[in-house]
Amino acid sequence: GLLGHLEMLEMRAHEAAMKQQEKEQQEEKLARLKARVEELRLQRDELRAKVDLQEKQLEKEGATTDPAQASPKAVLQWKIKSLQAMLRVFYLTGISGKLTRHGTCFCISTAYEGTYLDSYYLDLLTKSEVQIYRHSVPPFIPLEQIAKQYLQTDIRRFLSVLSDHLNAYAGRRYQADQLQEHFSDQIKGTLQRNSLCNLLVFNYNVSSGSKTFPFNARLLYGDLCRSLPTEVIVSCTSDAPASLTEAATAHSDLFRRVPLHKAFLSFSSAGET
Amino acid sequence: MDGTVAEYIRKTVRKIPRNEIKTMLQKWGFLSEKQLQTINFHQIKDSIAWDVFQLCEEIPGDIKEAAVLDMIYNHAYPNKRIWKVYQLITAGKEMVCFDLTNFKEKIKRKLHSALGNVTINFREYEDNAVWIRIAWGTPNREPNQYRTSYVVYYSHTPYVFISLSVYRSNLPLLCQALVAASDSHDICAMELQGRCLNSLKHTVFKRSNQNIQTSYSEPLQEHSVESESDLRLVQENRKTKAKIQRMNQQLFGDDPLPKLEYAQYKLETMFRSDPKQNVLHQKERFRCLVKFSSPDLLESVKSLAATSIVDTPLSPLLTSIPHKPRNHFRIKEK
Repeated sequence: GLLGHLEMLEMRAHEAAMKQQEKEQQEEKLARLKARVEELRLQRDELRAKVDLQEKQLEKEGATTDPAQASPKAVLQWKIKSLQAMLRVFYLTGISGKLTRHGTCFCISTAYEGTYLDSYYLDLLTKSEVQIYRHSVPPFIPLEQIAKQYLQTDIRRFLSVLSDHLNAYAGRRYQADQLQEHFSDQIKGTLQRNSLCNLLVFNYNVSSGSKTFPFNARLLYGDLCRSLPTEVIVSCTSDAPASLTEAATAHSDLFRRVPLHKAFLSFSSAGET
Repeated sequence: MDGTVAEYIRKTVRKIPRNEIKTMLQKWGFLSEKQLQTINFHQIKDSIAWDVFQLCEEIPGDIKEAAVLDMIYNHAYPNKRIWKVYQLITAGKEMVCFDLTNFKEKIKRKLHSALGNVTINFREYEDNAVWIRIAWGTPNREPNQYRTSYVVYYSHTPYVFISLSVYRSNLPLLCQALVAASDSHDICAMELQGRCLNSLKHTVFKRSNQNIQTSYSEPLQEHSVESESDLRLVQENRKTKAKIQRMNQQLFGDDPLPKLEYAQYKLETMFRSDPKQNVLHQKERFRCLVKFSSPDLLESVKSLAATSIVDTPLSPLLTSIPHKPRNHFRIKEK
């Protein structure tokens, strides 16, 4: 009745007031940003004027010397800059290094499918024979074995093999971490893994119709230089319908070909789980 | 819950420093949040322990769950125990795939079949360490929960850290179980022991976690010469000091040294004296044990040289400790 009507009017007035307040706030913000833009423009003009002035001064000074004969200092600076740029390019390849007082220090950067992961360092002594002085390679990577095989004879091969191991390990660990982070609701219980991340055992739910069935997956990464499994066993319980046993083989095949987290992404997009 | 189990929990709680008790009980997860809220954690430790005892008595539980609290405590305070490092020998074939379930099964089977009464708990941690807690018993006697052994194993590495406690006779059995479970050939003691588990770990894994950066914007790490604080002071032995510093840096490296508590040298040499004096000269072995102890042995050895208290160069017996790595030596006749 009347009271209800009054309440409604009150509400409307309140809403109108809120909208008015928001509008005012936005206008304030806009005004502030405009002022800031003006400020920055002024600064930019000032700096430009400074740069012009300096250039004019340099021209005046350098007018006596031959402009083609750049000073040795400038040449050196340019050389250093281009070397640094070169080193940065090499850094993108994953293996980079620099000379140290007693040898060289290499940095192996790992990445998986476009994501940069950890970097590992190797400090080598190169006095008489090449020796590893210090390193930050994890203890479960077979560094001693790779070093025994290649370090003395072919350093490039040593670095390449080590880089393969590290990259593959980083890739496997990334997949397992992604699985645990983003698909923890589909995983039943804990994901069993080991330090090299080359054996993953987990249970996950697959729905068929209205019921969900637990699948068990066992992924064995037999090749330490690869980030995809060599052996996959996906099994379901005996009371699961026949269509699911087909799905199990399909999943097994999928895990062998596709990174783990992407496989799970395809499950949720296909609406299977 | 059985009274003895609750009593064990009470005694474990008494070991924990008072301000840590609440976090550890939460980590343990045996008592619910509601139950934990009924305990006043500001009273004296004894009373807190009694409250926990009374709460636990009401809840069903067995010794294995109680053991988890003990594991949490020992993981947080590993330096209360003495750890010995052992190395697993794999005879060439590397274990490519460490299967945790398999490992646990094998250990349990081996120990249960030999002794019958043992309590074994496993706990995995983020740094890929597997902690094993073993309470030893015999076919006729219940496991003694107060004299437990701990084993820390890092998969895919050949190193095992064992803290045995009292029952030394069980060591061969434990070693056999570890060898079988890890698909190795044999196990041998590395003659390296100490209280600081992390230091032992770093010594053995030889891994530098500190700052070996090859950042392209940072210059090479130069050893900065100490700037003169007061021009009126004159360093007289500057050259000698610089030489000693360089030598120290060469011997010990830049990284922080592992924290060892002692180094032991067992002499098995002949006593050499003036033959005329006829005192034991070359007659029989001089039985002597030299032991250097310190809260942080290697740092003190390093500073002995740096402060010129001892003559340099230092004996390689002392400086080779982190490289070998061992801290039990036997010195024989050349």
